[in-house]
Amino acid sequence: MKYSSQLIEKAVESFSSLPGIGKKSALRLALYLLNKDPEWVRSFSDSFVRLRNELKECEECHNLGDDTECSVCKDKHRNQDIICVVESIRDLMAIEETRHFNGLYHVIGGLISPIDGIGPDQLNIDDLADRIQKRNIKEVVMAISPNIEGETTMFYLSKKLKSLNVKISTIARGISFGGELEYADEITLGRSILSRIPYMLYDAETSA
Amino acid sequence: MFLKHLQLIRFKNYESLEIDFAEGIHILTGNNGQGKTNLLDAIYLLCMTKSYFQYSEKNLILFGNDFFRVKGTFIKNNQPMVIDCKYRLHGTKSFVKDDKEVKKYASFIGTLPVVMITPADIQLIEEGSEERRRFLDMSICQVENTYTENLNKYNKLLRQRNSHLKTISNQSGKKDELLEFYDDEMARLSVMILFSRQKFTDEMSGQYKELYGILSSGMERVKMEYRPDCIGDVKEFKEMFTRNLQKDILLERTTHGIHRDDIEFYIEDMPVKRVGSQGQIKSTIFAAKLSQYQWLKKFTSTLPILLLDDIFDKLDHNRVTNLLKIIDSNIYGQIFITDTYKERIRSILPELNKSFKCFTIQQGQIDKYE
Repeated sequence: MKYSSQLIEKAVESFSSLPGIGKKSALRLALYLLNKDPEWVRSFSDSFVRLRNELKECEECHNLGDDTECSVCKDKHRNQDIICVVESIRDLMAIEETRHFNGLYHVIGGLISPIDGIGPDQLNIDDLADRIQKRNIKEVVMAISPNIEGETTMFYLSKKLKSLNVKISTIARGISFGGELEYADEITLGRSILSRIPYMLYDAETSA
Repeated sequence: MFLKHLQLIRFKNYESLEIDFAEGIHILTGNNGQGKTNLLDAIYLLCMTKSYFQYSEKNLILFGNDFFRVKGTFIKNNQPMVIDCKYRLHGTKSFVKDDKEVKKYASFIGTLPVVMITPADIQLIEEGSEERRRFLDMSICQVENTYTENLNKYNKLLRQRNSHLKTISNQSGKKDELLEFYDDEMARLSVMILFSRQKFTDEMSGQYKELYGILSSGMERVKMEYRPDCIGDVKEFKEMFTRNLQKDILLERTTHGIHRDDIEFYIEDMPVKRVGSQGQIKSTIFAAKLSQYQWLKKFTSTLPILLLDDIFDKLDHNRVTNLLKIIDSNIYGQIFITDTYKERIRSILPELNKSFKCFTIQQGQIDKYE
């Protein structure tokens, strides 16, 4: 497409460099901005610049926040004995949404996958061990996807943390809520049967 | 089970084609490059979700187009089943069974069992063990869903393990935590895969001998043997990985395991690979594939579709007549046979008891004739 202005072209290029945005959507967004108040556009673009420059990684748990201590770590009402280990910030946010976990987090920043060049050294695992010892943590919950890379990471974590006096658990896996047994795959169904739980506990509102 | 209706759109050299088939034998003739093999491959694709020749989807599109579609109506247990496979360039493949997207190919494969025999199968004998493992895997995965899942998982772990080996420089030979995990998991899967492969080869070796005998008019003594790279239980597999660790680190790959298994075919106790004539190699392939057919038939409780591409290729007249005698019996279901010469195949057809239909294929068009 030919644009009447190089400025428009540049803006379209910028938008379309974002994931999931094509040239046409990019043009629509660029033209939309032209209709807005200049001050609005400035604060809009400013929000990204500030995001990139000012966002801090928590020195304790690697969550992102406005400070080097994130809002979760700051909150002294949270259970200081339990740490939930997650792959990424997105998983942390998903668990926070459930409102069923009131402990601390540790974002390891990926899963072990030698094919992708990610070994244990590339992840925030060593400082997790330090943290457990220093803070006298009682339990570590591994909330990690149960695929091959996730299983590898959980195995590695459990080996690393074995010598520490800490309980290690993993989130339950099995039939999802609203799911139908008939359509569950054999592995999931098989595991659900093996790790069955007493019925009364089934919908007990337990939060850590 | 049989294919009743087939529709091809922008698939290989087919612009657009719709055709009806019936039970029994179908003879497709036409010159080279007219689309005989492509038609068989389309049927194979509907049954196995993938091209027989391991073409990637983008190479199945008619040149100059950006999508293909293959749709077939099968009749299984007197019920119609519609399979619709679509692929758009740079998009994802959609594989739909009766208006429902198939999410797990592993659990679909085997619903419509199929056996294909093509001149390219010569690789089964002449090439490395990879082709023969593919023969094992393609057979077993049609019967055991868990086999496919275990095998996929094993292969993923193997790739991770190999990548990890490249990063290890220690010479101590001591396992780190990652190797410990990979070895544990791979050992567990190895035992299950080994068991299925052993069972498959045991079950079909008798059929193999018998079929080879009929094909070659009973002149030669043959056998087929599974040659696992290692055998044992989970513990022994783990020990095997540990034993080979030094070598693995040095060579930066997993040197032993079920990914190195093989099958060996023998004639008079000599490997066919080394001593077999062209005709003997061909008979070996046909006997192996037809015993695969019988095995699939037994364990899927369905008559598989048999696709015979260019059967006269390297088989003499006697062997072809013997082959047709075999497939003429009622233990074979729907069959598609291709050949380049109309006259050649017609000359032996009167010997058949089964009903058959003839088609000519020319430049992506197909005509039925009596």
